Amino acid sequence: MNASGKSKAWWSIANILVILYALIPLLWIISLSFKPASSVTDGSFIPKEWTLDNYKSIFDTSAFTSALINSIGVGLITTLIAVILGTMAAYAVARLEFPGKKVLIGAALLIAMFPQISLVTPLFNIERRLGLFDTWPGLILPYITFALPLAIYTLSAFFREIPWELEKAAKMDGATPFQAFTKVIAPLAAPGVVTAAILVFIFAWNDLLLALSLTSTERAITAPVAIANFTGSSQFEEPTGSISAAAVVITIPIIIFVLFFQRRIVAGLTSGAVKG
Amino acid sequence: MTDENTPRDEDPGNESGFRAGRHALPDDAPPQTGPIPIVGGPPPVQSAELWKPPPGGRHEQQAADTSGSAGGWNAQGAAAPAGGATGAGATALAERPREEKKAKKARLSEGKSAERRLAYWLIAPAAIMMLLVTGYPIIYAFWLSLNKMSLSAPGEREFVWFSNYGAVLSDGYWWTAFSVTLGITVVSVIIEFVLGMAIALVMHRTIFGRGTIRTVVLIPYGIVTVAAAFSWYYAWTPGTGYLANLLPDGSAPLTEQWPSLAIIVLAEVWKTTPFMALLLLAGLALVPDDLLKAAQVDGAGAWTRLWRIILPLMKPAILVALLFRTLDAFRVFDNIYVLTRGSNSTYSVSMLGYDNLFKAFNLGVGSAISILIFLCVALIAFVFIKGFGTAAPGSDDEGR
Repeated sequence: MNASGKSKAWWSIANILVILYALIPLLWIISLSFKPASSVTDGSFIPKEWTLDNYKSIFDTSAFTSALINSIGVGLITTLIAVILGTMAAYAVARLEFPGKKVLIGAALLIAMFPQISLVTPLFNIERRLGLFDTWPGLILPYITFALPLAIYTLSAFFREIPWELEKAAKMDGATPFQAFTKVIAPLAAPGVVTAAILVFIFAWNDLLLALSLTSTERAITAPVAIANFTGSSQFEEPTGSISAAAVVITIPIIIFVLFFQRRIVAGLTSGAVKG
Repeated sequence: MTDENTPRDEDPGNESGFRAGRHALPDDAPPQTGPIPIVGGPPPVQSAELWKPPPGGRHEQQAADTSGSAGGWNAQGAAAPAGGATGAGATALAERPREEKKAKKARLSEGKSAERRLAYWLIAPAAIMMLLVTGYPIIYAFWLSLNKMSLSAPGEREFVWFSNYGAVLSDGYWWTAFSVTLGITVVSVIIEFVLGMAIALVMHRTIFGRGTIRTVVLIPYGIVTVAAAFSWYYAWTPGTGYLANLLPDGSAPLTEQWPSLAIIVLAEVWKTTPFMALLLLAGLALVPDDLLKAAQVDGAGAWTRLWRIILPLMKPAILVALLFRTLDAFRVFDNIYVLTRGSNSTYSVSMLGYDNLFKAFNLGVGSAISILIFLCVALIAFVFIKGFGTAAPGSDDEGR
């Protein structure tokens, strides 16, 4: 009894350590975002005075607002297209027999591991020539490409768990393979689609390198780029508070999202790994 | 099973046969020589081909095969079989009398070829997309890397073979970046693995608060890297930060190389350990509890159980996690961009490539760096996948 109580205490301590580990940097940036300019450099973890000025200031100019709109727009369109294309490909990978499947899987794996920086120089040059530089499509296209492997893996793992017999039964009843896909399999795979959508959106929302390289004005600059390049010039005497507030603004929605869909995200992230 | 295998096995042979046949057709194989010389290739391939369904379906399928397996090399794939397949198929059908077997095969592969056609339609958009946005640019990057080109002098281009590579590889910057990147990768992946394993064990074993802890652990994963990097940046800024204030007065860790690198590793580790932990947790779930209980009864301590049972059984999951994280860490950019901008020799290879394009405007050298990074990543992946054997993610032989 005593021993189990003791081990229980140890596990609680371990739990608390893990929770602190995850939360401290987040709480710190939140704390900074609420500190007024006068005490932002006091170094204390909890603000002594609280203010919303930082949040007001970042929405004063169009710089951050437009970046936020770009991020949301680019993220949503990327998610939509990547999930549609990913669903189609994942169905073929999980359920259909065709030569070249291994090549497709290999190519997807290759792209999942692809160093984005290797594409920055050529894409920058190509997009400038095509007029895609500093536009939404100029970001959306590479995002979709890098998100596709993620979507295909997650979704094909889900597709595999759907009972085969259902599709057979549908075909027996006279459905074409296409009808079997749209009427039977697709609705059952909806949870997988949601998972893939979340993962893709997080990827697009998080990206810095591609957005930094392929955008240059408020037309297409995304929120992470805007934040990374915030300067202490004209409007802000000290950008610490503003940057923190902006960081919190782009982080909190994702955190809520992640917490809300926790189970699905875990399933999606690990689906590729355990199959091996 | 045989039905599934046969057409697939034939295909490569068939394909080359067709192509040879087509090229040969106009000059070398006038109609009077009969069908046999038209179709080059060994007899089994040839006869297998003869049983195939009518030319229409056959050549369509063939076209799809080629374009699908090669990704999107449509130009070649779609054009090549058209003439040859039709010609060969038609003559063949007319010549050979093995009606029964032919009919049977034809009926069987009717559904098969419909399935294949659907499969190619389904994967085509994704495959074309991936090929256009990664395949073409990487080839283009290779071409750029062989030229002397600068954004500041747009009209001028000179083909210089591999001298850009020579310039990069004989330059101190590349080797600094390379060792910094390698150092960050190795150190952070090792720490992540140990810490991730510990967190995975806590998540696996904990009896109460399991949901909470799994949820909380996803926070670092969800945070935008730039936001997290700023949190660390301010934490270590003298005066502003709670962590910098713990250091002796006058120390500014982000202005020196080693402390900066340590902070970059810290930021990387913090952000990505949860991902590692979740992958390991999934592997941990595959370790049967009975086995651990039995070992415990036999007197194996916690440490022995970890080393002798848990880790060996988790090997596939561990390799996948390490592979993903190693390749990801090798691309480190966001944290460095925010924390140091690469000052004090803390730049990674990604940072170097970026600076070469946007600060030095050097397309040729920038592309050479891109290609070198690509080769490094390919090498790492190759080494890991050799270690995996068949356990690579997505090798879906268990699919059916």
